[in-house]
Amino acid sequence: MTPVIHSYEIKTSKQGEKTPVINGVHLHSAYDPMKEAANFVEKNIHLLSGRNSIIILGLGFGYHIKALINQMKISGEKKEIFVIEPNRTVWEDAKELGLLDLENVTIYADITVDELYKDPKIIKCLLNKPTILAHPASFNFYQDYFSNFLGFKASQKIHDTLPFITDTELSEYLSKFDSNITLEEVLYDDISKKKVLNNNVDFLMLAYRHLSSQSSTEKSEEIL
Amino acid sequence: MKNILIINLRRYGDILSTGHLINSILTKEKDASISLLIYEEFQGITKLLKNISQVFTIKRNDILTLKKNALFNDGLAIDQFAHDINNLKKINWSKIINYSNDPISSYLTSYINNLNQSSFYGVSYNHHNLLSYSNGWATVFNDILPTFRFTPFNFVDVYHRLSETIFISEGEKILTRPAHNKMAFDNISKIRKSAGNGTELKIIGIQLKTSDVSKDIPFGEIVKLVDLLLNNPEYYPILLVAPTEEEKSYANRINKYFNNTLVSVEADFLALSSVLLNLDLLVTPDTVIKHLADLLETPLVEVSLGQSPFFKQGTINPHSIILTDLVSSRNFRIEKNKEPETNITGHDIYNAVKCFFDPRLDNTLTFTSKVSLYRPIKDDVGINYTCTSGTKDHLFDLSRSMSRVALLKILKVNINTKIHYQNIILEHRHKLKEWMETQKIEISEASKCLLSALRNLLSIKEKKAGGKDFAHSLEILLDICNTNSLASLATLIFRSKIDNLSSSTMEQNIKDVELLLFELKSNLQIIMESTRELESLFYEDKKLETQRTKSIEVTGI
Repeated sequence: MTPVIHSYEIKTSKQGEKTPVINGVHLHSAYDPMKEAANFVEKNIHLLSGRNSIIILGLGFGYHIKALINQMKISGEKKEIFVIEPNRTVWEDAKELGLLDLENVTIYADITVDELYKDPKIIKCLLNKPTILAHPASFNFYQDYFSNFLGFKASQKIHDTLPFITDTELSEYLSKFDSNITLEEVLYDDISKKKVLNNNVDFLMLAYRHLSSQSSTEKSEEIL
Repeated sequence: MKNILIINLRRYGDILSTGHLINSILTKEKDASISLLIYEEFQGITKLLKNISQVFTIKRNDILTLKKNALFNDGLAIDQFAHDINNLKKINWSKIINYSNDPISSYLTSYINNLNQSSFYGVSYNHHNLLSYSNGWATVFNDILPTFRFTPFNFVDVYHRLSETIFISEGEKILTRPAHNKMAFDNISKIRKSAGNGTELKIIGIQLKTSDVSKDIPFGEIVKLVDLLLNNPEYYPILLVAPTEEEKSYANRINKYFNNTLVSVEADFLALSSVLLNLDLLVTPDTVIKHLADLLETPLVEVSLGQSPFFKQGTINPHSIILTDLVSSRNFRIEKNKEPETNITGHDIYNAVKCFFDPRLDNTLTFTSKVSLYRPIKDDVGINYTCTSGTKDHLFDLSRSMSRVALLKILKVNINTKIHYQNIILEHRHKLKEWMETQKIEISEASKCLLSALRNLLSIKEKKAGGKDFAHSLEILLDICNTNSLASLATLIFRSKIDNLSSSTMEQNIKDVELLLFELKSNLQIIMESTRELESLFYEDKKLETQRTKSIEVTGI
């Protein structure tokens, strides 16, 4: 998922900022990381309007994030920022160097993609249609990891579904089904074919089945 | 305290029109606490409704995003849904009214009802996953109104009937802000008195846009209407604009034709209520604004275009007017956002405005060919619509009026049928014979099909034949459901029941079907009886007419 790290070092740019260098790849400009960060913001600023949150793929030492926060301060905007960084060492070093004193920023470091999609904050953020920005050097370096994040396909088997169910009645109900079938199969094969709806949750499930097959703009149909 | 839950999983207009039912319930049951269950995206409109205890919401958009996007586990979507519904479980509901009667609301009605053992109104599902109807009006709402072309009842009346509530029109149903009311009153009063000659101008608000282009009054016709109103010294038009860039620029385009002299009022829903309260008349093509005006008792000219099914959901204010293209030529399933194809002109709307202020003009003003003017009238059942000017659609209205009487008789509602028949004869005399002949043929055909089905069922019972012939005769019988004849009302009721039979044995099933066929027979007889009653009154009336003519001839008057 993440590339094998052969070498890791922290170098100092020509302008004096610290920069992580992995397998010989500089995650920030070797000359002027601050200017590079300013360019990053300028290039992406048009993507930010009308969105309440931003997901940034790649932390590095956070210069681009700091620049983004400064820009938002100038424009008076408040957005929540989520940063995903696959490399724990990079994150720990950035923290130790005092580079992560950032407001309204949540950092997810060294967390599998699978775990990320279980995180309620990330899910809430994704539901609100965030702006997703890639830090170019980090994105290129961890291409597989980030591609997997962007193209993730959740397992829909009941045993993978149950951990998401917080409702006790529903959890008990679903745990009675074969854990290797999907929720769709429960809805369309099992419950829909029941001759007698002997569990009250059956009605809730059937309501959900009709709801989840709607498109959001569709008007509820009348029963014919 | 009685906790009443109204499940309404429809859109803005339908949620708003719940205000009539809430008002009627609370007038009778003062200690009741009424809550709504709606989709979260329509929550804003509930701020206008008075007397709602709680609004529960289903986060439909979140649920659908979680469900449709492969990134997320489906558990997130269903858990959100369960969480939304969980809030309802904390209350002991004594009454659940399924207002939307769609599959989701019907399953939810069953789910909550099973927890509470409350009484439900409308449609729900039973343990055999079959529909269960609270009463005959639920069948009308669910199985007749969506199918039958000649809508006999308005939704508001049906909602009241199915929830066994008496309609009460008096009472405040909408929340307004005193500051908005004062501002609207002051500003509109100034305009009203601006004629300068001591007379007061009639202020006519024109609402410009709907959410669907096919329902909009064409731009050129609005300009024509404004021009005609401005040229009448008694009227003063003002444009009502929602606070969106699209509407503002639309209003500006209209205003340019009048050298930017028009008054336009920009208001959100909350402020709009105060404006509507101060108008003499509203002209609107929009269903949501129409429902709002009805709840505020502001009279309106409803310009019914596109998909707006006015017999089902038209204005219920007896002072209002509805302008429509000839109903039999209207396509109520027209594609959304398609430019409207209408014969209604700005001049027709202007004439409707004049008819509103002087109903005698209904008989003298002319409208474009194939444009009809209807007025809501209150009869002993509720709101009915009568065409008072323009092109009359006799056969359509005859079917509508007679289906109303026939259904009321089937539902055993006590009405004075004679008055209904007399009105029908008065309005459609010259088309009656033709219509009655067609209906009698249809009823007789339906009866033949019914007898054939009964015969074939009997053969199965006596083990003389298999089910093939019966299935075929049943198919022919159910085809009548699509004929839109009076007889189809009986078969539609029959279909709703036969679709939901849950007999566990063959013998029981045959018995149940037989009972339903006899019920169908009795309903067809009621329909035939209604047609005959109408016919006999018609000939009686004709005889009297002939005698009158003869006596006039004899006396030489």
